[in-house]
Amino acid sequence: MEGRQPPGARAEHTHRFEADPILSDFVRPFPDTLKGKRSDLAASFKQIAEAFGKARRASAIQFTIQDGRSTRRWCLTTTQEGSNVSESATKNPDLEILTDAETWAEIASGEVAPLTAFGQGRVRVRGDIELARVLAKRMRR
Amino acid sequence: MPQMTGTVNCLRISETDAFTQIRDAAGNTETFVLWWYPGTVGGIPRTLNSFTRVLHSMWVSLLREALAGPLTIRITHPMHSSEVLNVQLG
Repeated sequence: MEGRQPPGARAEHTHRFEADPILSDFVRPFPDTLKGKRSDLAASFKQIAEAFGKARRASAIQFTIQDGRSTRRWCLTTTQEGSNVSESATKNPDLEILTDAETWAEIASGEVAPLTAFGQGRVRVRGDIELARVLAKRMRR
Repeated sequence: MPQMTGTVNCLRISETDAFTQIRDAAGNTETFVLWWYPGTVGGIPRTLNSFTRVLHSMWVSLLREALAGPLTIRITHPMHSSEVLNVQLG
């Protein structure tokens, strides 16, 4: 969104979020999990499961992706033994991230920061924000 | 358009961005964006007119009332977006 911006305005805005105890985890873009294969959504979720690894507590994170006219869902299941992902829906996820395929490709490839996509109204986040923070931290490992 | 009905968990307001988190009767929470104009600290976006700012102010009033109550509030938003389209109290 364009505006009359004084010099350094964007930097000041980003700085404010980086100092925020909750939002700071979502300010910077993630590393590229798609490795140039923008249409390979499944590969990006597989890589996220590997990056997540073992969890302190069991949880289910659902990614609901609008891909053209169809809605695809991946469920990341985290346990103390490790994490798995499958293209399936779960009934009561602890965290659900809803977006479209293009936006997910931009987030997963590191082109856009998750907070920016959320602020622009391109992503919905339902459920446990603390779990979303853990996910964001693990995706940077 | 999808709607979420519940109580206000929190309301976060700044010049450039504002968020609210709603908790429904089942305990599910979702965070919504009231406005988002990054990079405009100290400036006013050309696309932001006085009507929009008054609308934002009315949304904040309703959410504040709901938070203080606590009262049930209803948020309307697009299917795949956290952007608030409508705030209803009562």
